[in-house]
Amino acid sequence: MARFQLRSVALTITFVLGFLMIVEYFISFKSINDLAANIRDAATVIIGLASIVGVGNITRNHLRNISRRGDNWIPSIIMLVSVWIPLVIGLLGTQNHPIYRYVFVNLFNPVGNAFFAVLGFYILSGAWRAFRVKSLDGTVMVLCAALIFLKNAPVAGYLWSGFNDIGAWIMNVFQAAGYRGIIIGVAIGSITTGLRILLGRETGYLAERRGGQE
Amino acid sequence: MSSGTAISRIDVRYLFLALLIVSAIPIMSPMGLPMVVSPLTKKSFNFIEGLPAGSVVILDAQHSTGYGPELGTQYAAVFKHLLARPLKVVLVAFGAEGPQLYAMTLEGSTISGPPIDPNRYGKKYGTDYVWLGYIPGTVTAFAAFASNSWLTKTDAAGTALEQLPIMQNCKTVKDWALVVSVSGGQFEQMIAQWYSAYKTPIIFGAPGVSAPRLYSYIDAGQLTGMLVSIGGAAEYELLLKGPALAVSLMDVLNLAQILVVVAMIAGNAIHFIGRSKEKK
Amino acid sequence: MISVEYVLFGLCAVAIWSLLYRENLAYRIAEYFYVGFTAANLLVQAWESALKIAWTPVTKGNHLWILPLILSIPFVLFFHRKTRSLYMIPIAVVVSVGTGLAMRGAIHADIVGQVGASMKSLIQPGPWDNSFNTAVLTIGSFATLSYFLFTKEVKGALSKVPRVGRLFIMAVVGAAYANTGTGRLANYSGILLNLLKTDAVYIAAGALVVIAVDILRRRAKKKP
Repeated sequence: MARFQLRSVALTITFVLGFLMIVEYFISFKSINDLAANIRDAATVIIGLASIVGVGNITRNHLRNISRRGDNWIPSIIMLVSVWIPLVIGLLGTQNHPIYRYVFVNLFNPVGNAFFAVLGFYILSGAWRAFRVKSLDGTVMVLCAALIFLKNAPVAGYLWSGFNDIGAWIMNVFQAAGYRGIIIGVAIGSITTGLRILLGRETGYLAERRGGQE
Repeated sequence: MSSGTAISRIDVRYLFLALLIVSAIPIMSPMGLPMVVSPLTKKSFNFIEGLPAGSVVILDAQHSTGYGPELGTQYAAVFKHLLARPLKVVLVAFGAEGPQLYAMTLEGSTISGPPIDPNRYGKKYGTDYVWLGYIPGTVTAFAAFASNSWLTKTDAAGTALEQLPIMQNCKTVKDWALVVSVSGGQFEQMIAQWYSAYKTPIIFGAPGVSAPRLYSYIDAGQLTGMLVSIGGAAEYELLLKGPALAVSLMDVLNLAQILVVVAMIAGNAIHFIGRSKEKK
Repeated sequence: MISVEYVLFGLCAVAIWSLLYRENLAYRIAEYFYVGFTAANLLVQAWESALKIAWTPVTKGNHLWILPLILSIPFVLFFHRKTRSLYMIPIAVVVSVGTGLAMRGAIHADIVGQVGASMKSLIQPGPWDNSFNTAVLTIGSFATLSYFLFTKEVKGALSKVPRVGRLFIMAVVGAAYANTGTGRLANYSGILLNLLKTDAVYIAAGALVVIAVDILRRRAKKKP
C-alpha cells in the first residue's frame, strides 16, 4: 500500500515538474520562471548525488564476488580499493588533496587514455578484414571511409588538394544529409518517449522489480 | 584456399605490430609533414578574434581522460587564445573529470602539452578569468547555468561570486558572447539549451567520433564553429603561431591513417584476386 | 634519474595495451581500477558541487536549500530492502526535469531547426554547386527519414526512396568509422610518443621482451 502511494507520488511529481519545464519555456511570467529556475538548480544537486547509487552497487556486487571467490575476484579487490580509498581521500581532503591528484594524473589519466586508444588498433584490423566492396551499399561505405581518412591525413591533402575537397564535400553535404534524417527521426522518437514518461506510461526509471512498461 | 581464409589466417597482431613500427618512425625522426588549415577551424578562430574587448566567453571542460590529447590539446589551444585576447573568460566544467583536466592544462600534461600561465598574458584571476568548478546534471545543468550563471554561489576555491569583479558582468546567458565547449557528447542538448533558446553562439571542440553529426547543425546555422579532433587542435595551434603537442602528433597520425587506407585497399584487393581465382 | 611518473605512465599504458597480445590479469586490474576510480571521482565531484550549490545558501540563512540534500538521502537508503522504494521520489524529480528540458530543446533544435534547414529553395544563387549541394542535402535528409518511418510498407516507385536513404546512411557509417579511427589514432599517437620518448621506454622494452619470451615458450610447448 505504502509503495503504491509512493509510486503515485513519484508519477505525479514526474507529470507536474516535467510539464512545468516545458510550459515555462513558452511563457514569460516571473514567478513561474523563477520557480522553474530554482527547481533546475536544485535538480543539479540531486542528479550529482545520484552517483551514490553507483558506488553502492559496485561495492555490493564486488563484495559478493569476493566472498564467493567468483570470477575475477582479485580484480574485484582492486575495484573496491580504487573506489573507496580515493573516495575517502576526496571527501575528507577534497579533490585537490595531493594523493588524489597524483593518482588521477599518473594512474587514472594514462589508463583512460590507453583504454580508448586500443580502439585505434581495432580500427586498423577492421579496415583489413571487414570493409569489403561487395555491393553498392558497401562500396559507398568503403569509399566514404577511405576518402575521409585521406582528408584527415593532412599530407594527403597537400599531395593532391582533391582529397580535401572531396572529403569536405562528403562531410559537409553527403553524410550531413544522412545524419539530418537520423537527427530528425531520433528527435521524434525522444519526444514520443518523453511524453510517455511524463504521462506515466513508461515507468522503467522507477526501478520497480515487476517491470516498468504499461 | 579462398580469399576469406587467406585473410583470416593472417594473425591480426602482425597488423598491430606494423602500426607500431610505422608510427614509431616519425616519433624517432620527426618529418614535419605539411598541414593545411581547414575553413571550419579558421571560422572558429576568426570568430574569437572578432569578439569585442570585454566580451564574456564561457569555456567548458566537459571532456575526459579517455579522449586524451584529442580534446586536451583543443582545450589548451582555445584557452591560450582566449587569454591572449582582451576577453573575460568564465571557466566551468559540466563533466566530472573537467576540474582535474583544467588543473592538468594549467600545469602541463601528456594530453594538453606545455603548461599555461595566465599571468604571462597579463591576466588577473577574478577580474579577467575565473574557475567555477564542476556542475553536475548535463541537460539540467546546461539549462540551470543559462538561467542562473551564479548557480555555484562560489568559485571552485570557495570565494563568493559577489567578490569577483568578472562575475558582475555574467549573471545569465544573455551576458554571454560565446560558449566554447570541449566535450565528448551532449552536443545536441547544448545547442537546444543555449542556441535554440537564447541564440548564443557556440563553438564545439569535438572528438572525431562525434564530429560527423554536427555538420548538420553547422549547415543549419545552429553552430558557429567547430574544432574536429586533434587535426582541429593542430590547425588552431598553427593559427596561434605556437605549434605544440597537437602539431607534434600529426606526423604519427598522418602515417597511421594512410596505413589504415592501405589496409583497406589491400584487404579488398586480396579478396577480389582470391574470388577471381575461385571462379576460374 | 628515472622519472617515477613516466614509469607509472608506461606501466598503465602497457597494462591496457597488453590486451592486444592476449587477455591477462594486468589488463583486468587496470580496467577495474579505471571503473572504480571513475565512480569515486564522480561522487567526490558531485559532493563538492552539492556543498557549493545547496549548503552554502543554507549557511547564509536560506534554509529551503536543505531540501535537495534531504531529497538525496533516499539514494543511500536504496540499499536496504525496506527503504528502497523511497528512491522513487528523487529519481522522479531528476527524470521529470531532464525529460521536460530535453523535450523542449529537441522540438526547436532538432525538428524545427533541422527541417527548416532542409527546406531551402533548390535554386540557390552563386555557383552551380550551391544548388547541387542544397538538392543533395534536401533529398538526402528526406530519403533517410523515409527509411526509418515504418508506418506502412512502401511499394512500387516510392520504394526507391528508402533505398536512396540507405545509401546516405552508408555514407554516415563510413564517415563515422573514419572519424572514429582518426580520433582513436590520435590518442594512440599521444601514448606512443610518451612510451618512446620518455623513461616509459624501459617499460615498453620490458613488455616486448616478456611478449617475445611468451611467444617462444608457447611455440616450444606446441612442438611434439
